[in-house]
Amino acid sequence: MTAPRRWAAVLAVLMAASGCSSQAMLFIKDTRVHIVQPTENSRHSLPLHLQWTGNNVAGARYALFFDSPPVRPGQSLLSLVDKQDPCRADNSCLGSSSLTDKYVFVTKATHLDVDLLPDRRKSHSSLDDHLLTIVMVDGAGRRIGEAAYLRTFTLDRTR
Amino acid sequence: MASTAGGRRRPLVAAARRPQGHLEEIRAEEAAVEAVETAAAELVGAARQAVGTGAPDTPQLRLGAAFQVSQAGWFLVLALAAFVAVDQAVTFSLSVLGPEIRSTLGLSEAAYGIAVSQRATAAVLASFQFAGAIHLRGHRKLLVLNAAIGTGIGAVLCAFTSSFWPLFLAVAISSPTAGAVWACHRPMVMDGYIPQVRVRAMCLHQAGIVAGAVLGPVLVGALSGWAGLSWRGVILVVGLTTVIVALLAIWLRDPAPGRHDTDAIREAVRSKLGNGGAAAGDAAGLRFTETLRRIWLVPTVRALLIALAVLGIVVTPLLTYMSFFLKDHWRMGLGARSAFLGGAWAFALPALAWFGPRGDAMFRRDPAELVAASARLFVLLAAALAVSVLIPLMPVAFIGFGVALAISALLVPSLTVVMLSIVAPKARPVAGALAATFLVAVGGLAGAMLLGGLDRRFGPGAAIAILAFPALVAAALVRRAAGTVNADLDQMLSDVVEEEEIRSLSHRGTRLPMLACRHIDFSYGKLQVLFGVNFTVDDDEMVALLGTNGAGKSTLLRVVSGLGLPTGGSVRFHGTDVTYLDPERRLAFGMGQIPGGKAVFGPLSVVENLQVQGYSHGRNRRAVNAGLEAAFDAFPRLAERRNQPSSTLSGGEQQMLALASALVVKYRLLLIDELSLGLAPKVVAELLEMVRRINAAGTAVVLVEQSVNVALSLVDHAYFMEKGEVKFDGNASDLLARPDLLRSVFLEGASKGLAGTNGASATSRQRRR
Repeated sequence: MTAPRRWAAVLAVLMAASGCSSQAMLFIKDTRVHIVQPTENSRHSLPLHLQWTGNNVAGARYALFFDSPPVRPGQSLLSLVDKQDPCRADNSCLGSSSLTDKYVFVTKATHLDVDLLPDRRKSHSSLDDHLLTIVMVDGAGRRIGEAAYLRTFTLDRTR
Repeated sequence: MASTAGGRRRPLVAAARRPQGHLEEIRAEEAAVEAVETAAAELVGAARQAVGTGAPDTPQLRLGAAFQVSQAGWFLVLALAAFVAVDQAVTFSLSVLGPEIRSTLGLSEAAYGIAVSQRATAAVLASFQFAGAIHLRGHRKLLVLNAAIGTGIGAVLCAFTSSFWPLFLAVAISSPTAGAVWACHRPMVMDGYIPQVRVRAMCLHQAGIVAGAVLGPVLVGALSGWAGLSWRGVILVVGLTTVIVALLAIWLRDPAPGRHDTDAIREAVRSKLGNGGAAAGDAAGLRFTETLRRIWLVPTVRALLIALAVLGIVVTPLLTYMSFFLKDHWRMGLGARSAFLGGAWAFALPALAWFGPRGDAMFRRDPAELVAASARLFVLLAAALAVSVLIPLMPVAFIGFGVALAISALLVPSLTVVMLSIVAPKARPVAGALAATFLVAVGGLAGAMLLGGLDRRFGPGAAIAILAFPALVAAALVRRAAGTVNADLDQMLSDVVEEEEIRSLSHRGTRLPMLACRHIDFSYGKLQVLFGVNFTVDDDEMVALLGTNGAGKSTLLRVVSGLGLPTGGSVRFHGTDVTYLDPERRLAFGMGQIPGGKAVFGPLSVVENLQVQGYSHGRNRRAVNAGLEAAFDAFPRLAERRNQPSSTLSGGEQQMLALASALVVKYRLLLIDELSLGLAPKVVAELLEMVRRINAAGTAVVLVEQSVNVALSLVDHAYFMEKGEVKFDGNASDLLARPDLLRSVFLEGASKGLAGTNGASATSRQRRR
């Protein structure tokens, strides 16, 4: 095997090992969704009002994850639901407490009010920081594409 | 013996003891040795100048001129700095883009933390691989090139990952430049530039790391913000940039190790001593593990490595705490924090430019001055950390953090130059790998484990203030190293000079003794048990090593056989430095030891014991069988018990078996520890006769004995040790004329017994000579 071929083979193996998938990879930022509220590093109190805009997202639903990583592209939100959960039988998981208890919300709207979020303060003097991640899912709850929209905000627990 | 300004100049090789009939030969050899040593005394002083110190009045060379004199020019250090700068950019990208990467790959914070933080571990492992490869004569230029390209390819692969394990693998692939920094880059800077400019060159290399830390946020911000790239796009561009920058390594030239220091010393020694022989390499090549142990035995290196670990303890959590502190205290978002930290890191650039020439000047005046300055820097680091968080003003925090980061950047070149200056050039990559281990692995891990939860408990501000305490501990450690650095530097120089002196003597045809231990110091932990012991054994000689209990006789044998490593001094076998060789490598030289009372493998039969000895010494079947025959001829009782487990033999028979192994192996030097202990006189007589025969067959023997009448009945050359020092070195008969030594009860008893054996001893001497 000649040197260039050897290098090409090594590169191919490495690329394969890197887990290259058939999923379309995003190298340019996807700007179809814009989170209007909360703004980055803003301070809020509960209940929290969230608002965003969506362009060219026809048919998609929004899945909002608080302080947890979203499912991988192509993966269903049902992977977060227990296998014995009765919501699986009647396909009602996407809006059920099975997900909201995990602070995962699914909606077709571009706004949401959240009454409760966990206290993530490391100490009483530190801040209660949260990370909101919005991804798009299809009707079956399967994540569409790699696009994810992140927003960090703080909850004021003193009020 | 000569001594130098350094104060720990070791003598060369003492003239070996010779038979009285060769007095003229002895005098001639001793005169030659003395002439060489007188010349060599001046050479160590000159050697200090060759490594850039001990010449305070020499004017400082300008950077450009010094680089030109070094022949490496600017390219070497700038290229290496560029590699570390892009590596820093990769590190920063992986860190700052973490949330985006996690959201794409669906990874938890902990999983992502594991995938990214293992980069440091992989870098440490890589540094050892590089050091090992260089030790096996690997080409540093190729390693640097491969490391830089590997880092770029790893980063590019990160841009294409879609789950945890591929990310883990890609991050690991991106780690080699971080490992090459310590094992390749810094030793190359040391070898590439003359000693007078090394602190500046090292500061320039460090500036690459700082530039990466400063420009990383700018680059990521520009690619992510202005160019609108996703995390994949940003990392892909950074990775491709790294690959392109890596190609600079094609034009690198690998400087020969020691080219500007030890090679110059060797040349000076050769010209001074008139040895026109070819350029010599370093002393007997140490294996990787032997080199590790050798380096660890240098007190200054040990202290600086621990100081680096403490620096790691301080710096590793510091950056995290700073980020939390800025977020909690000043409500800074990610962008503001990145700008703040980038700005704070920027303090290090002028600091490095300011420190470089001053560091060089300090090293030139006295290396201890540079070490002491590093200790002061640690104190300043502690103060800067405390001030940053205790005074609630943002400009103060900015300046305080800036100063703290600048000091952490200054400490690396100053400690590195000192540490790498006091180890042999070929050992520098190994020392570098050790430094990486202590700074990154030991310090980083300890920092994360010991101080990781402080911010949760006390808040990030208090956690940063607490980091001042380990910084003060490091200051004390480094301050202590200032007291040992000159002695360690002299030791290294002395090793080089001694090596050349030996070559010079060989070149002149001077006969060298079989075994020459010079100024051996040995400690069990902090308890020193040998103090500057000189011990010489000539070919075919039989030497008695006598002394009271705890005098250090057995310890000296352990040093000779390699079971113990000295903290100072040298052990040479026919001029070859074997001081730090593993025991099994000394066996290859023909050096063997029969330890007192436990010299056989109990479960093995008699014949198996002898076979094991033979085969483990590389003898072939025919030679082993011949040896077995000789052994069984010499010890018929062993022949009778040849298939019996040796644990069933009596004490005397076990000693016979141990001695019989010498007939199979045919040692050139046999060290026998306490042969007669607890044995009946008849058995002892039988064993001693065999020792005589082994010696007469050409094996030099060192006999450690508490029973003086036993020992002096065999030998004509004796050493007497007391409290770790040699109190007597001379003819056995002369020892009897030393009432100051014979005060010991056992010796007095011996002197009576010896009167009857003196005649036998003299006869033995005549027979041998």
